[in-house]
Amino acid sequence: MARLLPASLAVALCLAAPGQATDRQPALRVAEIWEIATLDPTQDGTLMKEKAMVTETLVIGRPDFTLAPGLATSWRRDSDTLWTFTLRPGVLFHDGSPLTASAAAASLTTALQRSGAVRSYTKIAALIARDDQTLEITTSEPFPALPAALVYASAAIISPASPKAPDGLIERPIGTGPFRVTAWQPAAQSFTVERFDGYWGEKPSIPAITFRGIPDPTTRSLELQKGSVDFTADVPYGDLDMLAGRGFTVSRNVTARNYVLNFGSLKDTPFADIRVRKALSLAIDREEIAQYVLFGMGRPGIAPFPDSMAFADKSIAAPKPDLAAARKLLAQAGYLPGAGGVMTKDGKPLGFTLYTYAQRPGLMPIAGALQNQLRKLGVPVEIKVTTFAAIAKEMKPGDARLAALATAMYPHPDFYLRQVYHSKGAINAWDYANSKVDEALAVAITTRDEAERKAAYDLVQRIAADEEPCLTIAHYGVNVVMRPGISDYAFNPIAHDYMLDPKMALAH
Amino acid sequence: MAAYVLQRLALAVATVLAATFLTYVLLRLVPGEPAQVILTRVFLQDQIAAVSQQDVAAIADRFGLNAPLIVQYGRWLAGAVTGDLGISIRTGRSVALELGWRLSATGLIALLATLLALLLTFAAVTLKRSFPSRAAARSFELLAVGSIALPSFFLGVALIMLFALRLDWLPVSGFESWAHVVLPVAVLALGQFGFNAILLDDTLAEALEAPHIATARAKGLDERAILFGHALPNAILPLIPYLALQFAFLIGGVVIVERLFSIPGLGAYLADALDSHDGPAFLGAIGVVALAVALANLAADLAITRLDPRIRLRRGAA
Repeated sequence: MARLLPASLAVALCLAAPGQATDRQPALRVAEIWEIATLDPTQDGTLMKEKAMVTETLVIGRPDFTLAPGLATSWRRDSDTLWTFTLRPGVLFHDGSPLTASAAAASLTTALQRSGAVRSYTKIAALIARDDQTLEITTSEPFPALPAALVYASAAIISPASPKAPDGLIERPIGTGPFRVTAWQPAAQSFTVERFDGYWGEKPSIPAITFRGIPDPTTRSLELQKGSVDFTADVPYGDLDMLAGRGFTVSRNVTARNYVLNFGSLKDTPFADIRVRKALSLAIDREEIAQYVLFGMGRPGIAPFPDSMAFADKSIAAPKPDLAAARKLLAQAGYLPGAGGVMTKDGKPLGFTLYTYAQRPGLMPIAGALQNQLRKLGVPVEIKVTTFAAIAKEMKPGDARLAALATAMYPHPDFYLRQVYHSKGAINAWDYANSKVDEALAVAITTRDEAERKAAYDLVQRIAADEEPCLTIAHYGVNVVMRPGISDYAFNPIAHDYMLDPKMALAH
Repeated sequence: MAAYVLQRLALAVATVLAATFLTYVLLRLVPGEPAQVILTRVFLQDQIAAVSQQDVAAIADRFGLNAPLIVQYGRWLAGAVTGDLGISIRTGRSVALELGWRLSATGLIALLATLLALLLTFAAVTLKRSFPSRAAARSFELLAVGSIALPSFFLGVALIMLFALRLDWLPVSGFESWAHVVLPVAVLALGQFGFNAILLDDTLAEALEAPHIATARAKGLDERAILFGHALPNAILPLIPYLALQFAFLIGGVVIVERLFSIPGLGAYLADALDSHDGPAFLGAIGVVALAVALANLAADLAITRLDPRIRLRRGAA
């Protein structure tokens, strides 16, 4: 045992040698919010693309969720299912080899094999490298959202020479981004990236960045206060004002995720009645939840998308909470206050179990707030916390779930609207069916007329806000906190957790 | 003696087998078809994506989930005996390799915390007994009860605030140097010491009542000599099995402290594996913890047999 002791620490020590900066400027120290289990971009694409800036995608998403050229400078839809992408010339991988169409095809093939999400998001059926700069992509069905789906981080392009483990795990991605991986200590959950001098775009001013996985929000806040971390995200909401008061740069941002309450079923339950759903929605004070429950970490909203997204229908406004109007609607639906003020119809009280899970910090506080607000309407809510996967199995038709659902895994309205509001939508487990929605989504995916497409998606959003088959409570917020002296950082809301910015600069 | 050791070893093996098999069965009782659960928990989480039957089938195939339960467990066991604990579903890395990393961190911290807790226990109990007074008894009680009552999360944050932020002597979190080990070891040791101290104080009181102590006192032996020479050696014995259990508990159950100090340890690994339904990782970690419990108990039994001549005599007589 005595011999084991120093040995184990020595292992830990040499595995965890802190990242060295290449020149006199110090490295930026980032506290990543998850454990860093792997650098494989097909498993966790956002770490390598959005945070470490090691990999890049063919198409990129602007902050307003419109598309811009990435590793592809242009693209063209040749037929319903055939697309041609022209690659950016002069792009080098971190190993010095050039980006070619065949390398891109090989990289996407690997991503399709290893990631079910890439398969289902992109619908790619075939990849052909016509010449060095031309990549032809065939989709399995007509799919106008392909360029948007290629923004998805796990579809990033890496060199086929990236080192792999025997079972195919990509140990260390060789990308094309402004930073390249120079050290990786899986046992210590940390890695280092350094500025890549062969980068095709504007070179970053930061020479190097070290990432360390610190999954506890309180610990991230303490590390910032000590000065041993320069940049992190998602610190406890209650710490933000204190950190801002001490000179840290605090930003509260909205990302593409919604806090959504959905019912188990809209068939043969009280929630089949639109008046019941609207009454519950009117009793919810979304402003109060965003302001006081989430400490400003989220935006109140009833629409599927916040109006900062280019494809949001900006005409949708959230109604003010109105208990009197809610009671009136319930009365119309046959519910009157019974014993203890509980809304009752035919002797059956209106109440439900609200399932949620603990992984996202806002969920449990929101569930508590909903319980309080709905009690004022006479609707008792029981809260049950379990895991996301278990909820689907446990909840009954008359129950409800509060979840944080990703609204744009790639920047296109079809992703969320189809899965949530189409009668056959993949997560529409509550059997909402509206033929107008199905028709509009069919038009949107087949038409070649952009204006018609936009009108169709807008219609779906208005119906969604009008009928509320599931209740949008708020748009998800994420905080980014930086030590004083970091300049030129802009948050890109297209980030799944948070994003770094290659333009960031450190003051000496 | 050899037969005794063999018998205890067999018991240890049986413990590990029972623990891992039960875990295997329990993992299957989690609601949901295993392949579906793996797909949504590990690969998609609460991202929305169409889950295709083809993907579910591929997962079931890749992790051999279609065979009967007992066959699956048999396969796992056959691998485990040769040191192959399978591949982690989350990371795609060898579970044995990852457990090695995790165990070196947790093992170091658990060992240091147990030693420090023991040191604090002896210091507190001997101080109390060497200077008998109402004040000493009160402060001993306060320390011990405080150690038991204070949640490690609260104590951890308080120690970080004091030693890492205010005094700036130590780092907040991580596992990179001896300095990083100080606070987590202190938090764990301070949490463990209370039970130890009360237990030792109790058995010591009992030992001091023994007839041979009265004889020693009657001989006019100095109180310190009685305490250290005659009472303590006997009072320590009941503490040993407890220390073994405590050490085993530290190996498996310090999620909160590991999380707070970002130590890539076994407790956090277990919690993550369970949370994401990473069966191979969870099972491997349970196996290691069960082994640690079994071995710690074995070590305690052997130590007591060595230290307590009465046990040896009884065994010899039998």
